[in-house]
Amino acid sequence: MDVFMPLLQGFDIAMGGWNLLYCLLGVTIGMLVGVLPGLGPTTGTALLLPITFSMDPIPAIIMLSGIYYGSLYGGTVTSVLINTPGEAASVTTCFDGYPMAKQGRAGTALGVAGIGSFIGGTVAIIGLVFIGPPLAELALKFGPPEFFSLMILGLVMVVGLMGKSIIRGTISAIVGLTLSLVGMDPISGALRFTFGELHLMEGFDFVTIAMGLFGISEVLLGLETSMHAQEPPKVGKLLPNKEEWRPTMMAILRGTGLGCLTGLIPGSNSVIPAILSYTLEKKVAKDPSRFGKGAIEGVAGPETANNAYCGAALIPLFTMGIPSSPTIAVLFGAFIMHGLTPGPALFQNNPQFVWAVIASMFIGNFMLLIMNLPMAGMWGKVAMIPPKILYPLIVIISVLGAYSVSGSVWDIWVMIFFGVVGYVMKKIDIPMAPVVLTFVLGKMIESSLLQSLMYFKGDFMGFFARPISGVMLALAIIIFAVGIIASIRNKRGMLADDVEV
Amino acid sequence: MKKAGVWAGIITLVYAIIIFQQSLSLDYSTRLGPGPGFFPLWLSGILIVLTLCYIVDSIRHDVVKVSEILPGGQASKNIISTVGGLIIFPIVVPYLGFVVSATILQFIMFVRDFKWYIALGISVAVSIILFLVFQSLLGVTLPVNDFGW
Repeated sequence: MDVFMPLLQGFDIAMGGWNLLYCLLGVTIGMLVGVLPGLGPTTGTALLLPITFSMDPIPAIIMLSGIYYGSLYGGTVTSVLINTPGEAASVTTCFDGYPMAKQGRAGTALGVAGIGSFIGGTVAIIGLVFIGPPLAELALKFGPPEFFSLMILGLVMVVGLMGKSIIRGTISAIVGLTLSLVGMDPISGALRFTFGELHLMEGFDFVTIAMGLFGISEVLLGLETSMHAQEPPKVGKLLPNKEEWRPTMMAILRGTGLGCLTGLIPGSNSVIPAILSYTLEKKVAKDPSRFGKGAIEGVAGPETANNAYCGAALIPLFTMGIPSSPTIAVLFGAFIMHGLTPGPALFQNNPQFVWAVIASMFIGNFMLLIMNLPMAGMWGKVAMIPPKILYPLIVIISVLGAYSVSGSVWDIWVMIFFGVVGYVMKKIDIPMAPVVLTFVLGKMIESSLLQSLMYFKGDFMGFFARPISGVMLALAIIIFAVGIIASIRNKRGMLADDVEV
Repeated sequence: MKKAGVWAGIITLVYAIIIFQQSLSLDYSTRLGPGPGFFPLWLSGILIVLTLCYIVDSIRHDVVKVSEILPGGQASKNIISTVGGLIIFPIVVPYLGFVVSATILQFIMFVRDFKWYIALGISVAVSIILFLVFQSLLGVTLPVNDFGW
């Protein structure tokens, strides 16, 4: 296959110079972010985005993606050891991981989670290696109408799947879109919604909005509850017993499949495959009553699924330029910040970058495996850092990050504003993810819509005259309609919420 | 009018109306096709309709009360002092410089849980470390006072 040579070159770049160190730094920070309750992958990547300003694109994205997938490994440790999920995707791990720890088998729970995460994450990246280039080639044939329809389909899936109310989700998405329009219109050069404010001429910066919505609002929410750290139990033996290997590996295989499939769906998040996998494992088990009391499959399956999801969710980003979850939206913002446009042209225009980042993920997953298996006990101790120390640090790093966006206190004000807005949105149950997703895509959606309408001479039905865009728009309409019906029947409780933060 | 959703709806509605009104002053179409006012006009129009639906829905079903948004007791004090500290920072930083302003912001947060001298010590130490890391290592130019910090 012609993917091997570029991949080998990618390994060469990822292992050369400082890149390996940045990968290690990324996955270590990711582990920390995952281990510390109150900090999730979105907050972690958003907070550390400004640190990469002065870096080259390759090490910057290697580090940020390391934080992303590293945090999913980290969340497991606290779920198992102290029954507190470090991030939302590890909630299901508490169900059986903590009972295992109480039985003196914390090491085994962490061991199978580490092995499963490694297998799931690696298989998903192999998927990206093989599916990525042909999918990107296909997407290269897309014109503005196809891209517009694709983005609308992605957004409708986000709105349709997230939160309890489709109205709130759509409002959130449209507010994000309107925020992205502030500043100079790239096509006509007209100034829009600047109200005479010079700082608004360049529009809002993604970093400040993301840090406000995800960083500051999380701190404000966390300040409401006082969390007390508890002493983690001893880790003990890492590998499962001989008779447990077969069910564990089967759970890992099923988790990998589920995670990879869910990762391709925009609007999903890492919690969905974990819950699906837990449910599936319970269904296929000979004795489902073991679940909740320390069943090893209940740890292996979901942990594998959320890491497989994490790798697979990068496929739509790399090939189509569509961010499918809030964390991926932050990565999308990082791509743009470093002068790269995520999407099909990435494989052609920046092959060195793409393959180096992909190769770094193989390396990063391996590093995480080592970090998790023999060093699990150490990470358990890190989880004991109390919020009273953690939160002031997050706040000051956010302030610094916002300031460094353009060296102006204006960005700090913007961040504070969106921090308070995010806090209120969480309180009244308006999902935040659509705001960020539409904000990053806003300008692209507008330009592809306008270009298409110019091409169709103002006839909106032109979108339906082209097969690919027609099918995607029709699908978007169907999903939106189903969402409305589910909303009316009030059956959206089980659907995903703003959980990946 | 104790329902939080209704207030959130009204604020969003005002925002949508402002965007709508501003969009009207932009060109809806140009010689080549849709103009800069086209997309925002449609978006804000849809937003107005949706927020009206949201307000009606909140009046009928919303259970979140305005009083529930800010929790009582210590939690409320924590949140107000943090937001207060955050607001003070951008006001004083152009005059006092990063190190002093960051110390004030962190001191406000740390002093809730630590003795004042420990809180001050941590705040000064963290501010100096961050100043050195960002200014020297990461090359970010931070606001400074007359003494250069």
